[in-house]
Amino acid sequence: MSRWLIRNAQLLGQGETLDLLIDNDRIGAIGHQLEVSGDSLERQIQANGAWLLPGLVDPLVRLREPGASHKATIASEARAALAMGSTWVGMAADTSPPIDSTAVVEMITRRSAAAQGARVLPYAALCRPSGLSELASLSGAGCPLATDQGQPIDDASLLRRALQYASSLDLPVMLQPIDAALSGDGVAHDGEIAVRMGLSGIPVSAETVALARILLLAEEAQARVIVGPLSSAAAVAQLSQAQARGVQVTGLVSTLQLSLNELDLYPFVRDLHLQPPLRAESDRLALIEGLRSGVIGLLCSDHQPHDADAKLAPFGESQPGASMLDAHLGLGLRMVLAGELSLTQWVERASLTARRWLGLPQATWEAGAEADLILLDPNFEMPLDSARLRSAGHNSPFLKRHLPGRVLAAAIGTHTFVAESEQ
Amino acid sequence: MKSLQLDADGRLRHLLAIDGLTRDSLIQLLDQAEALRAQAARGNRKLPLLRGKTVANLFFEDSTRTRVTFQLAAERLSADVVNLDVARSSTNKGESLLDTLATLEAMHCDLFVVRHPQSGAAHFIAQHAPPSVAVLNAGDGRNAHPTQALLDMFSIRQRCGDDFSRLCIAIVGDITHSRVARSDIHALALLGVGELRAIGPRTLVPSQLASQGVVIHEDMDRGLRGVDAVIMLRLQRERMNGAFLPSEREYFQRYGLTTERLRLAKPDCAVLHPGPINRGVEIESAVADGPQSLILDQVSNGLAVRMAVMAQILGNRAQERQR
Repeated sequence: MSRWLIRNAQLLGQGETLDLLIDNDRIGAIGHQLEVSGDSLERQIQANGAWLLPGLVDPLVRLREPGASHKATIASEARAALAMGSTWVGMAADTSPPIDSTAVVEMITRRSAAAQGARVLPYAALCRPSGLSELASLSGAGCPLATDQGQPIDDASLLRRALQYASSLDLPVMLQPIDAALSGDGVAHDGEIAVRMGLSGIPVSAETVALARILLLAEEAQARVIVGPLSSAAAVAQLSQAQARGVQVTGLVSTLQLSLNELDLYPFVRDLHLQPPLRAESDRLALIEGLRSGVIGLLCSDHQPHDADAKLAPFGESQPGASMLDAHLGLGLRMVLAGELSLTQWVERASLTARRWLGLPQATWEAGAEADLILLDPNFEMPLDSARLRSAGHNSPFLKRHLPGRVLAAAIGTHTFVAESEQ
Repeated sequence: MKSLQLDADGRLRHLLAIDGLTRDSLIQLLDQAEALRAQAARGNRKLPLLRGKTVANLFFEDSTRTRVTFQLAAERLSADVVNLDVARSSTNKGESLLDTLATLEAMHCDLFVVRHPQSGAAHFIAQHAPPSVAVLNAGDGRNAHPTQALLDMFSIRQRCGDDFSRLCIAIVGDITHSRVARSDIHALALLGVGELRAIGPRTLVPSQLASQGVVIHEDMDRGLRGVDAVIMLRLQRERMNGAFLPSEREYFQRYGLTTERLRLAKPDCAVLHPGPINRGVEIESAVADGPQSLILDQVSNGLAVRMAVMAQILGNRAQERQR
């Protein structure tokens, strides 16, 4: 990229309009009616009051590479993420092979750089079959945290030592609170909908029992822990109590969990076969309240792209997970427009808090800072159309549904995206 | 589910579940079954209603009894019948499930009668079948077994009359894993049953049933008081992949239907069971074979009900094509 000028954007949506000059990978200047010679500009964008925001940070996605590139690839998903407003994505370690060696980390970093999309943060697998992972090496190779996403650690003693070890390296840990035995062969919330449709249920205790264990062990190990994606009101209450007694923990929730409830599964909507499952409306409301109060600090897409065959089976045999990159921003923005979150709260939970946990630069608007921003038109609304999905995973539960917002442009260093309308 | 199984005029296109049917469509099916039964009683055993049609019985789960009643129902209506007992091991993925369907489509079948161990399988097949093929759910996982519910309603109506609002009915046993219970609950609700009770241990009766207006009893003796009909469920041992019960003996002690217990219900209380019965586990032989038992009526009513469903689905489709 060379030089761009964005005219009349609202910085953080705060009313006043400004111009912003991007010079290669950096912010060149910011101010009212910047005078820039047109000759040197590669592109000029009339923002007409669109919002200039720090790039979103999506702290939990599956990119499916290595191991399942028939579902999606680092290149396809990193480009999709940037086009949908995320400048950074944190990638779960449950690839095949998993992210438990520096060779895999280097491979992901190389492909992410080549993709020219969102920057991909590979998370280290907290454990491997033989026990603890080489977390010091993995952290040195660029993993900002360690996680058990996709393979919750069943053995409490191993989890305790893993937390102690990560804590000694000052490495944050992201843990998925799912008790394997209580979750069993369940495929839906053990509530009204499971009873009505005859689906085997996942009780709330599958989350709370595992969460209680994590919180006690993290407290003992003095580890810094992110727990989620969460699904229940009871988990929000547990988390809040742990925070009150000083445990260094925050919660993670997906925009999908905040938008739908168990009843949306009817009749057998396979794209809503999820783990954790969509729960009752009262759970959804408690999760929103938890996000608003800050008990839950992080908003993620929990993006899980699948190939068509993975969902081509009766509900319980279809693979769990939804493709969410395309709807993540729209669902967050919809909460802002509906008054469920303030814009500041949204930016905080969808970008700034994750930056602190992951050790990323905080977004600043000073000349000389690396470009890490998006230009978002909030007044745009259209149905999500399968022909225009950016993710390779077409298993989106929001197809044909109206979602607000359109990213006009996004930049992270030299990686950029510009909407077709602005080209 | 409504949009998939009913056409724009509210007529049956597929039968996937009782959930989503209207009261009228349910009563219409019962009335047609009644008419077919009367014809059979007059010696008119073979009817030409489905001549030239092909019915495929697709059983992804073993059940000789149910398959035979569907086969007989189709043959009594003069349809050709293909039986496919698809072993679970050879098709345990959706892709091959759809491949199986494609093969049958190529043979120009008109109706798939489907039994499958996964909840929602019939719905899935109806979604992916071509418009010319109708789907009849013969039991999918824990979700639904609509023809069983229809024959239960038919048998209760036969014995107790058609005003369900005067009736108190109890369903006893493993409700969590029972598609029969789920379909019966929906059917009884549609017919406006006066009181519906679920009786069983807490490990086998979901508490959320209360939100559907079902009164839950853990004490069998109390739950049976004043009941007009009791539907006993089969204790599905093959579904018990966990320890839901300590032993069959203790289950029989607490929930087995004995002559003595049956006295707590109304004097002429009807006893139903979807079969096959586990004598001495959920029901005592003296009760199963006794005068209050409708178990054998259920079997013969099942034939009439299945004929009615097939005739109606394929009849509606023929009308649809003519228009």
